[in-house]
Amino acid sequence: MNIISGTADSLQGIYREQAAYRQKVFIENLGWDLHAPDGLEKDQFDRPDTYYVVARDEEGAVCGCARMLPTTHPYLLSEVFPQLMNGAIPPSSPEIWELSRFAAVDLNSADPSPLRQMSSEVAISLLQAAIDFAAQHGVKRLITVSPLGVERLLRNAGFRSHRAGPPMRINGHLIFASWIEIEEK
Amino acid sequence: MTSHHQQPANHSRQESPGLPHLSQDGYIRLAYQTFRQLEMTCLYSGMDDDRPVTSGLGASATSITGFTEWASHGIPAITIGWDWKLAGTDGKPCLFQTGIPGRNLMFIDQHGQDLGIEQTTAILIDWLKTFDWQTETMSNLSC
Repeated sequence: MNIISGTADSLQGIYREQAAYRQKVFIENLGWDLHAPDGLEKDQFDRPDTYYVVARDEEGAVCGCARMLPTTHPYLLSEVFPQLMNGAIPPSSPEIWELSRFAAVDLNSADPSPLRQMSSEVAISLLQAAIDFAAQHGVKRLITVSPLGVERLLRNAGFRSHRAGPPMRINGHLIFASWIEIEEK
Repeated sequence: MTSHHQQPANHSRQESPGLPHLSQDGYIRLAYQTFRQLEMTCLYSGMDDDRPVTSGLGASATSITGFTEWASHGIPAITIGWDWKLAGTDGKPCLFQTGIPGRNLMFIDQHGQDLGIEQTTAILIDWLKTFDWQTETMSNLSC
């Protein structure tokens, strides 16, 4: 497995592959109500300053992705899901990034369940890579918007995290916001 | 009914031990005694649709697992969620808590010091043995 990080501009073709992967995972597989013009899932938060962490398997196929946004500009939680913050104002700090669109699903696997694969080694490696990438940019904490199943990954893999508020059912899906502490090495 | 929670140790915050208050780091810090006075309500419960299937010839494939979510009233709310598995006890089906509960709660001592993640988790797991969350959860499942 290979994990690469960067902006859409620096990732070039890999950016498109991760957008196509997101379309398959989040829209086709999980049934999220998202837009995917031309088969590429993207929204207003896929900007030139957005970072991506992309995992690819031995054949070069995308098998995981994560999107990272500084909280000093509009981001998914602040603009779309502020109600997940339990009454707190969504953070705005250069030391806090948002992690969203996290997925680690092998689309070629016989196992069709995206949530089950959240506990896979790919998921753990991808999340650790995202944390390391953020740390390299001086980030101290991540705030996430995720399906509730991601919390199992965080807890079981030993990441230092806690909820920002109760989960809510939105468009039929249980989602929640979670803090992830980035430990100094 | 009652609740609890956890996080990084070495956080010393002097906060009033009254109603839930959201700390800047997202935790609600409470003494366990205060937590026990709060009413916790079941918000959601469900079965895993990704439950593992036992493989192998002749193996049984019955492992029913799920989750349940509880919260206090008002905002900020204490949130606690945990996983369960269904097992039989004396011929009766029963839910057993598994894994580490998710939460936004950090227990503090009488000096307002964090008890830390591990201790808060341990207290929470003990707390789950003090009331019948199983009936409410199963009732929630059938809704």
